[in-house]
Amino acid sequence: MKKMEVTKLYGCIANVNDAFIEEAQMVRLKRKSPVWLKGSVLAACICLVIATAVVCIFPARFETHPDISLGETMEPSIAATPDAGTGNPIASNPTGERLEKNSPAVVLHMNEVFVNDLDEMPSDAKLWYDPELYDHVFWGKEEVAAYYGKDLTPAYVPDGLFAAAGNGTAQMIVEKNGTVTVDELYLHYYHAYSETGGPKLTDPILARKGFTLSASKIGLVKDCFYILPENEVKTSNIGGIEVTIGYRPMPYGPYDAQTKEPAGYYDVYVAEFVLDGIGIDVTAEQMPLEEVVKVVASVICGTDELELDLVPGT
Amino acid sequence: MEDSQIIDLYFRRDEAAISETAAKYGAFCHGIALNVLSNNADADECVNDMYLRAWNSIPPQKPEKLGAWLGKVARNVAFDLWKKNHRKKRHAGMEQLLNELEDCIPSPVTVEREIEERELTAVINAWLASLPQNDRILFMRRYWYGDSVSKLAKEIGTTPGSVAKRTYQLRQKLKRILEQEGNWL
Repeated sequence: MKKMEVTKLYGCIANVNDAFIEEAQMVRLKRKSPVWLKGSVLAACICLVIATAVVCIFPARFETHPDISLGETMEPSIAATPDAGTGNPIASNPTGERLEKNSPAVVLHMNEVFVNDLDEMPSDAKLWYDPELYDHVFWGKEEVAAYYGKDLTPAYVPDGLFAAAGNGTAQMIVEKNGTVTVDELYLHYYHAYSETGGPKLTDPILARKGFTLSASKIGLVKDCFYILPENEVKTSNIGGIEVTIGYRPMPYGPYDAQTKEPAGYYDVYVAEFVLDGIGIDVTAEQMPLEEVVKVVASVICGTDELELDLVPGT
Repeated sequence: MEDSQIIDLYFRRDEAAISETAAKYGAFCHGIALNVLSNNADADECVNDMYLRAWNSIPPQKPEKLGAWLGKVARNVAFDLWKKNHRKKRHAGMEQLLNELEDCIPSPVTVEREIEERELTAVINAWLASLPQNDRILFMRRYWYGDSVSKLAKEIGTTPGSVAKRTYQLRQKLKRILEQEGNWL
């Protein structure tokens, strides 16, 4: 039946106005500027404007006495507090550079985190690759690390979550000529695992608890769908990296036989960003937003020294 | 040759109309058919069928935009052939039974259905008109011309995933419009 309906829709699309057919034939699609370029230009402009404004308005702050609001363990260059609502980094790191491990604490300003409503989660269904054309190649930790050029293990993992046994290894799909077609790396951190290695569900909320970090240099096959149009989706600046965070209340069973209502909903957050040319997304289930932000910040900044700033304007 | 001149040839029943059509729009229509059928021989057959239909339809029809009109004919012919091929490929079992039982269903081509489809096309036209130009072109290129996601991604300078995401959003928008307009499907 559904096929008949789709056929009908396809047939109706065939008969749309000739002007649209001609337009699509004659006019080329507009090219997008590379995201990194737009991001870099925007970040550079914002940094310049903010730096100029701060120096002009608060010259006294740049004298040698310490800023008592920063705390003793923090260097001013890292923990300078941004003004609320300006789109400044939530993980204060004005240089935009990754921090070395064991750097002083990174402060995460939660009032600068933007969360977008997710329309639909990407499907977990995998594409089928013809074994006559592609090989499934197992990569060990060293090969994965060499390919990505860095260790993507989050420096911060919330208490009660544990790394899955196979973390750090990956199953790549490679064309017969050696070209890598699918390079997805998955790092799983969940509260418990079954004997087969998959995350266990919690009780009474029948869902996983924890997060999966997915990474790909080629481009993640899965992609989130936001309710807002692509150009209206807001990003959060964490450690100099634009991160798109999505949220969806996910229903869980059992479902009422009469009303079909679920037993309840649990939180699902997805954070997507590009770090050094690697597309990364963190999908977190049954985790508070603050913990998700800390995990993301730890990947970006490379440190587990993270402090949450929950009070707006401080 | 200008479109109006080609149409004049059709009206004069001059067979040069076919060769002029082939020279100007043959490759264009072949591309459309190929996107539907993924088979060169089938696409050739479609384009030949399209010439015949154009010959039989003009006159009395006088297309304002000959390219778009021919494209539509090529697309419809290709779609019919796709359905025919698809039916042939079905094998024994449930598919076969269902296929045979389809004969019991009255012909779907009714006046009522034609009106319904015309109204549905009008809704899609209005929706297309409301879209930003780039979104409209993207939708048409994907679902009218059948261009692949990777081809579109290359043209835009983005990833196939990003194109897939955008086309998904467009489909969701259209779905909402169709639902608002009264459960067409």
